[in-house]
Amino acid sequence: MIKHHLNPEILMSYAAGNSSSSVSLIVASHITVCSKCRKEVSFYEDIGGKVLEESLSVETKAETLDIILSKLDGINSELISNTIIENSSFKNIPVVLQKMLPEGNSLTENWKRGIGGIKYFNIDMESVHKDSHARMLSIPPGKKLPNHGHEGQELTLVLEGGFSDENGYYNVGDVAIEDENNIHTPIADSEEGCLCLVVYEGNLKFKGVFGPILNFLKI
Amino acid sequence: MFLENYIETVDFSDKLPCIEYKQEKHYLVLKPAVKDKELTYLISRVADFKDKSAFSDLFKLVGPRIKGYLMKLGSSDIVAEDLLQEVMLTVWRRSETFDRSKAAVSTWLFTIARNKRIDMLRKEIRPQLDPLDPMLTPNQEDSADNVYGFKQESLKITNAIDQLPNEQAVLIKMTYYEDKSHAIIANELKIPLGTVKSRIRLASTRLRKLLEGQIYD
Repeated sequence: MIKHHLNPEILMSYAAGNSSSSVSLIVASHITVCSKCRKEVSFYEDIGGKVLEESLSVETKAETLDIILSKLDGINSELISNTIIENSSFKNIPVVLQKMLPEGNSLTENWKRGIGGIKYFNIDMESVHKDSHARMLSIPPGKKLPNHGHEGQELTLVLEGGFSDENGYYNVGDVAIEDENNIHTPIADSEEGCLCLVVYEGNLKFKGVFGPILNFLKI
Repeated sequence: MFLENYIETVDFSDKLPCIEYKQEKHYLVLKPAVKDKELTYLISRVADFKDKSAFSDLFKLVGPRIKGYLMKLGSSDIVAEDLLQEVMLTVWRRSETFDRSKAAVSTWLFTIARNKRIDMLRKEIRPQLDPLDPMLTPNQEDSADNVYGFKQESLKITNAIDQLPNEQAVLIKMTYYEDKSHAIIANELKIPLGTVKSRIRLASTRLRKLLEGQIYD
């Protein structure tokens, strides 16, 4: 049962079509497993439908319809294909996220090693938003991440295991939302550790004794 | 409503007997619920029979609105025409996947137009929910009829937005009509980012009451 949800402003931006590609990735992944937030997105898309309906009509060019009609022949209908990816070593990753991970062989071969047994993989969003980042993070059981703040918003979706921080325990499917200025100290589940998708804007800012080193290493 | 201004070019009287319409000056005005039903009918003709005549009627009904929407969000006339072509070709390709029990026609068209606009203008990946993902959790069943979209008597969205306090209304308009992120909105209005977010949250609760509350009344 999902306890930690995305908030209205994030879901509305996703539905309206103006969230960044990395935020879109985490929203699409979360609403795959969260019917409550998926329903809320439908509501905001219904608003978009009404916005479209109530938009001022602008006359189309006289030839537009003929151009479109001339392109119809030869177009096959596109039934949405079932896109189960066979080779992934992780069973609990939504398809939308799997598509962004290395193809074929498992993610495990592509992990980069951070400090303290933490492994990560940076997802290339090919985004025009240069300061918008997405990464997979695998944290060993009981491992405490250095407490850190953010220049921008950080969203974390739990895919396997879980973690806890000052706001409580986050289970599979839960999303943690950390705004700029918040400082938190996540600890991975003591038995299962934590596999999660993290997206953030700007740079992470690590506090404490090792902060400068961590900032330099950009784990 | 999709039909005002353009209905005079389309004659439904022989094939759509369920429409109740009235002649007003040069316009025919359809009841909103019927409108959605007729658009659904045209899409089903396209899906089942690849009916180009139904497709053309659909274009005449929704094309100018889609173009208007795209231009409102900043596309030039030329770009809006290109995007409109893309949208209509996608409608043709995907007509069989349109499911009335899941979304209103206007919502479906909106999501297609939204995605085409992002694809073409931003040239970036925009991850989307995969509707066939085996991990997809079942939908919540919270009402007997489980109707998606708003009821026919619901407020127009423009009226609903007008009922919001001005400071909230302006944020919803910037989100839907101007394609602006919260950070850009905060910067332009010179208010803190946290204030933008909390006002949008208040506005969404209020919009829900105004628009969706009527479903269960």
